[in-house]
This record gives sequence, structure tokens and C-alpha cells, in this order.
Amino acid sequence: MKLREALQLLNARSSGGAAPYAVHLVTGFEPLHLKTFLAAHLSQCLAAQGDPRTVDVRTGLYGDFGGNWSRAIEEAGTVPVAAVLEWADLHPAMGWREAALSASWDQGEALSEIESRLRAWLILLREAGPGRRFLALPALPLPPWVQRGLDGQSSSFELELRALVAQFARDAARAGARVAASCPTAAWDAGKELSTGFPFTLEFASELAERLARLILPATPKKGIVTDLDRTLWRGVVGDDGPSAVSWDLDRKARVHGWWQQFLASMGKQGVLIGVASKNDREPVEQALARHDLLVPTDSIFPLEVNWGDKAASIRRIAAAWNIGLDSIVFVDDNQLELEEVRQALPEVECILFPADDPAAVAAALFRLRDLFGKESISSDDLLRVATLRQRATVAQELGDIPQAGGGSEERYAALGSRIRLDCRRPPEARVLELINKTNQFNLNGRRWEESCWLAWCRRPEARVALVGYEDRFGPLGNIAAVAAECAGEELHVRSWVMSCRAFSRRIEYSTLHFLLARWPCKRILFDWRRTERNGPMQQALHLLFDELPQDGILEIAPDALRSRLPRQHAFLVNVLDNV
Amino acid sequence: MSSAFSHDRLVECFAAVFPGLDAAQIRGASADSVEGWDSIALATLVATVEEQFDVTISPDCYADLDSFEAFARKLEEMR
Repeated sequence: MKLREALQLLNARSSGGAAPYAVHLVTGFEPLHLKTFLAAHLSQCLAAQGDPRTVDVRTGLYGDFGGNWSRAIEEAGTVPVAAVLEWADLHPAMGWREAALSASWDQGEALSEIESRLRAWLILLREAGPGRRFLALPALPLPPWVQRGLDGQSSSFELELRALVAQFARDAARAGARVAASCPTAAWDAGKELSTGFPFTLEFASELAERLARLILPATPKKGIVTDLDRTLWRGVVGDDGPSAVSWDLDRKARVHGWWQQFLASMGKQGVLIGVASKNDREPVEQALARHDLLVPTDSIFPLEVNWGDKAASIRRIAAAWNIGLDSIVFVDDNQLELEEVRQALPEVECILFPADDPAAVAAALFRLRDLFGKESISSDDLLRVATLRQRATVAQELGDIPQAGGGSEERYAALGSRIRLDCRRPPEARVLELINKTNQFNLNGRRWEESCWLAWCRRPEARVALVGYEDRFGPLGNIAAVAAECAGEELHVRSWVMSCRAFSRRIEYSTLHFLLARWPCKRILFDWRRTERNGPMQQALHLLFDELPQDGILEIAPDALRSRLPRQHAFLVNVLDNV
Repeated sequence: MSSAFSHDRLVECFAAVFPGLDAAQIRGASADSVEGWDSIALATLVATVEEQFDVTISPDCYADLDSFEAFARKLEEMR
């Protein structure tokens, strides 16, 4: 992003009266353009999430990283704190702008001072408790006057220093901070540092700000990759060359395809869905995929759309089999024409070229893909996803196309042997927020919670949270639904209610209400209902519960009335965890 | 780079830094007449102009860049 574009973007934003989205930016240098870029990139992230708020980046005093860090952490509350550390913040002699090197400069003493300083900042972080902190590590060159060594040698001082900073970053990460990955762009603008106090090139400042913004307001990760086969998953054309002749190894100059297979394997292990859309005959493809030297496990690929039809139609069918939105899918192909056709037909799908003849470009594409699927942690529920999608296909086959409104044969539901677990403990598992913030289809109102607001809400005495786990004779689905409500007086006010699309067609949503009504007794139930473009399954459920699709707003119903409208229950409540 | 072209792009740079000014006000803008023309605004203006015109302005000149006209003159000199 250019600086002028950043300024124009910020000038064009209007909050519509809402309070701005606040962020503390902690630096020891003059934050100048970094502040502008951070505000602009955060504005873009907010806009992408449909949030109209403007951004308020709060900065501190020049030359006082430690004081700014301390004040920001103490004042922050739920406001994110992004700290950009530089060498000069650790010791004034390591800055380029201030003449701070004394005749008595001693590297050992300096390291000792730096270690103490970093320890004190870490203690502040730990003692402040939960919060949203983000850290970028020094990117400027170390001045030559604080180190000595042979030509081309990293000095022992620099190695010790970097070890201290790495240890600080590791401990800060353990205390909950998120550390930004380093940016490859040249960081230092020596002239500007001397003339304005802002040390970075504009390109670096924009890139760093973008990384911080993506950490602070992460995009919803994509869920599935659809890959082409010939010249993508392997080198060669399987229909012409034969299943044994396609390759992905170094000897046959096909290692980039091996990279792709390894990447897919790692994505599969993280619960990312992997499907195939290929224009081919099915038989040679199945033979090639059965090869023992394939680097991606074949059982992690589902479904296979191998036919001579257009790929957009194949991707539509894959999305239906996965039961996810097209905007959660990335399509990777070596053929620009195929990509363009999919782009035209399915603009929601992210299309990425597999540039088989350019290893550096393949590597760049892999890094880009890693970011698109980036998740902070991988839950056991993520790992269950592929298996449960296969189960879902079987269940759907057995039960027929059951409308969410509760139709279908009672005997078949009874035969499922549904077992439900409720986890109502506080603080709730991280999975609850993850479910609420990524679920689109069965979602009461599409509300996304910021982590800090969520944690603060969970601490309120009237807050009630339930994480719903499920299994049946087809196996476990894991934790697939969540309800967040407030229980005050005679009212139960449901703020968020979501269920993974993997769990459709089993009446789990109705069983959830059935069991929670018993667990959270009340005289009135309120739902924060809002129709979104994508919560059709929730609309179907509410249609059943309220006899018609209600208008947006707070829906009220008495528990008995609600119970009377629930379809017959066949699920058993097998476990409840609670500590309230 | 024609003079008129350069002035239009310079107006865009000023408009990004001082969004409250229209084109006519920008052409007459100076440190004395524009509220908010401080050292931060000047540093932002310089960086925006350098980026837009792909030039590097020496810090020695910053003190003289106290109006739209001064920026325009500087860019003319650097052509």
C-alpha cells in the first residue's frame, strides 16, 4: 500500500457515529507513517468483516518504549497493544539517532542491562493478565560501533543479543502475545531516521503494519483446497503418460509437485479439506492416487471430481459435499484459463496459480496458501472434519435429504444412537469462540466477538456458555455447537448460537435446546435474531420454532411453548461438565 | 513531466494529508494558513510527494517547504 493510498483510505472512512476501533501502538521511535499504515490496514480488515468503524491508533512518547509499553498494557483493558521493538529501545547505544555511546561502553554490562529490561517488560506482561498483545522484533541493522568481529562474522555480542530477544519473544508468546513474522523487505531508511525520527522505509512500514493488522484482526481462515492433478499434484499428464509415469521427485525434475503434495499433507493434518477437480478419466487417476510413493495420504482427499465437465461445476459439487461456502474454498491449478473460468463462474472462490515452471513462484504460492489457512492452534475437532464429512455423506444417504425443519423418519433418527455432551465450564474452551466466529450457516445472528470482549463477557456472573459435543453410531463429530446466553432474573437471553455444518441432519440443534432448557431454567427465552445472507439453516430452524420466519430483532418465547415445538428427541445426554 | 501534470499530482498529495481543503485552497496552502501544518504533517507531505514523484528530497530543504508553491518549485528544480 502506498502512503497516499493509506491516507486516502483513512480520509474516506466514516464510522457512522460508532466509537472507533482503538489500538495502542508502542514504539520508542517516532511512529509517523507506521501509525498511518496500521490504521489503514486495520480499516481494510474491519471493512472486510463488514465493520464500519474508524481506527484510533494511540501512540506514546518518543524514546520511551519501556514507559509506553507499561502505560499501554496498564490502560489497555480490551484494547489491543501492538509493540514494535527496536535495538535502541534495548540500549540507547544501539540507536543510530542518539549519541549515547560512552567511553565506558562494556558489552557484558550492556547485555546484562538489556536482559534486566526485557525481564521487567515480560513481568509487566505476565502480571497484567489476559489481553491482546502483539510484538514485532527489531528489524534495523545493529550499529557497527557496538560490536566487533572478523569480516563477515556475526559478533558474539550480536548472537547473545539476538538470543535474549528471541527468549523474550518466546516467553511473551507463552504469556499470550502474538509475535509477528519478520518481513523480507529492506527495513531501514537511514536518511529519514536522522531527519524525522522514523526509521523505516515506506514499503517496510506498510508490510509490517499489514502483518500486525492481520494478527490483530485475523481473517476467517479458508477451509478447503481444491487441487488440479496434471502439472499440479504431479508432473505429467496421467491420461497420456500413464499412472506410473507421472512424477513428483527431484530426479525427474518434479520436486515442486512434491512440495505441493507435502503441503497438502500438512494441511490435511490440520483439518483442512482437500478435494480434486480434474479433467481426466477416472481410472488412471485412481491408479495414480493409489501409488505408495504419493506424499499426500489418499484418504485425506475427498471428494474426487474427475470428469470432462467444467471445473466450476466440479467445485460447486465439492462445496456441497463439504457443506461449506464457496468463499471458504481455494482452487489451485496450473492452467490460467481454468482459473479464469472458475473466477468468472464462482467469484467467491480464491483462485491461485500453480506456476510449475518457476520454483520460487511455487514457494511464494505455498506461503500465501499457508496464510490463507492460518490458524493459531489446531483442535481435535479440526482433525475430525474429513472423517465426519465422509460420515455425513453416509448419514445423508441413510436419512435421505432431511430438511433442517425436522422432517425424516423417527426410526432412522432413533437408530442414529445420538449422544450429547455439554461443557458449561467457565472460562469456556477456546473452541467456543472459534465456533462462534467462523460459523456462517447455522448462526443466530452472524455476530463475531473480539477475543478480549468475549473473555470479558464470559467473566460476567450472568454469562452462561455451553459447548456441545456429539457422537453417534457413525462416530464422534467432536465439539460442534455452542450457545452463549445471559441468565438474569427470569430471562435467558441467547446472544450467540451456532452449530457446525458438519452436524446438520441430526436434530442436534433441537436436542441442544431441549437439554439447555432443563439446565438453565427460566420463564422467558430471548434470542438475538438477525437474518444474514448465509444463515439459511438457522432461518429454517427458527421457522419451525416460531411457526414463521421472524423479523430481525429480539425474539421472545416461553420455555413450554418452545418445548412443544421441538421435534421428538432421540438423543441421550451422556455427560455434563460444569464448574459454576 | 509537464508543469500542469505535476501540479495536479501535487494537489492529490496535499489532499491526502489535508483532506479538509479543496483544490483551490490547496494551491494557496501554506504553513501559516493551514491549521494542522506541523512537523508531522510536513514529514507526511514530504514522504507522500517523494513516493508519488519518485524523488528524494534532502532534509536540508524541509525548512523551506512551507507552502504548496514551495513544494511545486522544489519539484520543478528536481525535474
